[in-house]
Amino acid sequence: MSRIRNAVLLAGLMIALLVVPAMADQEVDETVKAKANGLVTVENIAGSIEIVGWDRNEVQVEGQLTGDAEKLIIDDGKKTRIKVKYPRHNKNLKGGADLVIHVPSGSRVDVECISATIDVRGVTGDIDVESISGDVTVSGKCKSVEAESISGDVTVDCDTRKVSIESISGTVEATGRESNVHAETVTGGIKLTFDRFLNAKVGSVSGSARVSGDLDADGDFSFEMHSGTLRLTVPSDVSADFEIETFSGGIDNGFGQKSRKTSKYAPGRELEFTNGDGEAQVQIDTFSGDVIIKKN
Amino acid sequence: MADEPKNKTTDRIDAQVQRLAGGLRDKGVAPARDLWGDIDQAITAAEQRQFRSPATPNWTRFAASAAAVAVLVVAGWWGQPKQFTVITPPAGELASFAGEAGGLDVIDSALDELNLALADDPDNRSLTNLALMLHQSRGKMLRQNTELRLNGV
Repeated sequence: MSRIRNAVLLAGLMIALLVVPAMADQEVDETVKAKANGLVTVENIAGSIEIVGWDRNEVQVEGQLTGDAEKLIIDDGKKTRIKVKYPRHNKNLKGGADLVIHVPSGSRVDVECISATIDVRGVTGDIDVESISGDVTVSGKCKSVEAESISGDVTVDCDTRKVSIESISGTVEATGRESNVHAETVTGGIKLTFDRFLNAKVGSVSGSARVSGDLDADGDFSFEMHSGTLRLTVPSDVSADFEIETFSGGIDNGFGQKSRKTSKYAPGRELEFTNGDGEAQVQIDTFSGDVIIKKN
Repeated sequence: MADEPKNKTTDRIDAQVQRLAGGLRDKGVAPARDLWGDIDQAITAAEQRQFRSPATPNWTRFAASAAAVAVLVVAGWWGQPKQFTVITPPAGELASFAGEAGGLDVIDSALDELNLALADDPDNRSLTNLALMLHQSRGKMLRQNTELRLNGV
């Protein structure tokens, strides 16, 4: 009887030894010196990464490691490299790292995550962020933004000259003042609202796009939609030359000019018209997606 | 009642066989050789097969079967795609792959539609632009997949 009891106690002890370390949360708070405009890279799998620019030449990492997140690694050589270590060969990771990282505001930031969400704000350098299934948010005034997610949503609200946002099934949304914009999705929707687009390249397979803003006179604007609908809203006095063609979709032109059939036997429609001096070049191609042009 | 004609026929045939056999015997006609030896040997061998003791298994056949199974198992293991996965990320990761797979399906079916249209109108610049965009998206997606796998995701 006592042998059975001892065996049960031993088994219980072993289970406790295995489970307790895995469940223990770990607070982290580390600070290292950094260049004012240096590169900061962050790698994490799960949880959340919040990056905030500040006026100190230091990188500070605060937060919590939970579940399987084992430890925080910070290399502060030529660049500041922050990485959360997880066990290898673990098929069922639990927990993750929830980190708030303060970086010098002039930093260049490069973040790669798997399911973790990413939020970057107050950083004025180049920002390159990528998550596979987590949502990505970037805000503030910065040099350029490249934000990408595969199934997460991407939201950029920046005063920057260059924005590139991509997702496969997530929604991408960008707002700003004047910018060169590249937006691409497969099934996700696109929403772009800028005071003025300097250049724009928008592409989607089945997702729809809603684009609103003035078009720079020197710019080229290309919209390629397979089956998604494009709604383009531009000022009534926009100076642009429009060239629109759809294989089987419809064209609704708020400026009044009517589209015509591309052929007697095919369902396609095309429309070419010029507004103002026709400076900006707008090219719209869709397969079956509708094109709606509105003026405001 | 219905079997009566059938029985009558059988009886008639039996009677004919007996009569013919009797005639051969009476004429001194015998088989060219003694068939009983072969028949007896066949019956004995069949009995031995049927009543072989289970306590004396055929070890050769058993070893051959085991070897065959072992070869199949090793071949199956060897043929499996090698898993380089270092980490399988949690929860949302599955959703991402689902989304990605869905994305490829969407692109492929869009390309099918475009190819049909281009077959009819190969010089259509608009369709060519769209096809280029789709191929670029597809290439990018495949590249992402490869990178993820190489990185152990």
